[in-house]
Amino acid sequence: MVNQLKDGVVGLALFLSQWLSAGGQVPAITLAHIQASEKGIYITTSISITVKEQLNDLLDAGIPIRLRMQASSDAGDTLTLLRTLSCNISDYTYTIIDSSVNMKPAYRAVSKRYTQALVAFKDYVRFEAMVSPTSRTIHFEAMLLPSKASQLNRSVDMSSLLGFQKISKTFTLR
Amino acid sequence: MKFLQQLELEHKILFVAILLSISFVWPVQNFFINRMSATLGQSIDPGLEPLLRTSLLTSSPHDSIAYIHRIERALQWKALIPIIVNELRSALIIFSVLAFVILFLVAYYALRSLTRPIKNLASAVTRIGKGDSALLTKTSGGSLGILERTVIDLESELILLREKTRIAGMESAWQDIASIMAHEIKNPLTPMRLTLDRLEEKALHGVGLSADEVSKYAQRINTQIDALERLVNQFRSFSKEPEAHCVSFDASARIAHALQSLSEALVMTTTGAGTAFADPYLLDQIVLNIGKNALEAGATHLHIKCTMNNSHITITCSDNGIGIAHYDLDRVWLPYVSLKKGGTGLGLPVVRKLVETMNGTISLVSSINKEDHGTQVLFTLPSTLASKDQHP
Repeated sequence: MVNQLKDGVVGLALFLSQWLSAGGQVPAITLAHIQASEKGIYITTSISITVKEQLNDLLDAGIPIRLRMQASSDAGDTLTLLRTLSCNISDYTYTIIDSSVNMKPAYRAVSKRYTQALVAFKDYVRFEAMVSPTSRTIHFEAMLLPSKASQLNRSVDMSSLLGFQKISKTFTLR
Repeated sequence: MKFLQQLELEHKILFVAILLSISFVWPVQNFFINRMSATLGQSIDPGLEPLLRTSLLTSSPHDSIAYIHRIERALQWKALIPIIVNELRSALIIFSVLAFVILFLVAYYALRSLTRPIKNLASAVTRIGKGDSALLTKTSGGSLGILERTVIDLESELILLREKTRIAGMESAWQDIASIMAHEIKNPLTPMRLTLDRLEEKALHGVGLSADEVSKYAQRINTQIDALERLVNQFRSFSKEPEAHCVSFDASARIAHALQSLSEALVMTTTGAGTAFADPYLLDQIVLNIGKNALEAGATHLHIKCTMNNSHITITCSDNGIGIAHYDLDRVWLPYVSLKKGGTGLGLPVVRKLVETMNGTISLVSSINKEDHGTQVLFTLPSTLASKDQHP
């Protein structure tokens, strides 16, 4: 109940901020958080994006958004994830599912259930990666994969709604 | 507007076609998209989703999956309508642009095929008018082809006619030359024959001839022989390219000396001075011809003016003769055309040839006004070796 209330407040704040913003934001990968330790460098990025109403409708209709996210450092670390944001239309909750591409054993993580699409989307575009402490640069890349309207057996390209097909950025750590 | 007026016919037609296409295709495309959007929108039953959701709440777990799929299907269809409409719009625009480009190319080709033969015909007719070849080889079909073939036939006829005219002209020219030659040769022959008849008569009657008489008759015959020689020289000068042995000399002094033989009949004045890089003997011939022409035109005064400019000397010979009518001015340079009775028509053509041989130019102005009649011959000659090859 508390979580739902929290999601509602955050969702309202996100909605208001998007509503008040110009709306023509160019998608970009931004640095959200960075922390270095003996184990490695922990870095969090986010894709700044304007969520259009049409995108919300597609999501609410059970058409998932799929992103291939990859982080690679000059030290040779590479993390690639297939991230899916989907809506369960029976109760209108949103879930983020991460699945590994190059990890062994296969990795699959399911997020909590979000009641607000905007809150789910906020977490969906956050990407966390840990690279070795010797890394000097880290390259983030997000590529949009085709979505599918399962009941219509039809592929949907959401790049025009998200504003990108592939986006990348390299951060210099030191 | 001026730009539009300067456009060629096919470009004007295409320009209008583009405007019509844009003004027609855009509303038609919008109409179809709006109709399609409305029709697709009507395909959604607004009461279906709430009905399915109500049924979902009361359904068994087994049936709920089917209900969820139905709801998903309804929602997905509703959400995809804008995407489908956009896809259709893009497809329609691409198809319209492609169709327009293809139609444009076809129309351009067709128009060019139609207008090019007309243009070719126009330029062919212009070329024929200038005496060049029409350059029409390939003929189109239909009416244009008939027109092209007519122009080709016309050109052949014209070539034939020109050849006939040229041959007729040559025959006429030769007849003229023969008649002039006969006339000119006959002129000195008559006094020569009369003089010889007189001598014969006196010899037959045993009349002795004094030394003065012999000298007088001999001079009379010599004069006519000189006239004949001059005539032959004039013809020879015109028939062959004169050779110029150019040197630098005082042009005004040379002209004054050359015209001394005419000083008894003409009052001559000379002003100005200058150096010419030319053949002095050819210059003598030029000024003698001009002087003789002035005399034959009834002039009593001949004024020679020499003016030096950068690299040339300009010699102006002005007389107060009867002058030449403006419509005859162009004809005076034509060989065998004489405005005087009994003239050979070679004087001024020879003068022009001599001037041009020395890299000079010549022009003539004349007036037949009662108050101010006379002719002015103006010719230039190089003044230095460097300017020999340059025309002023």
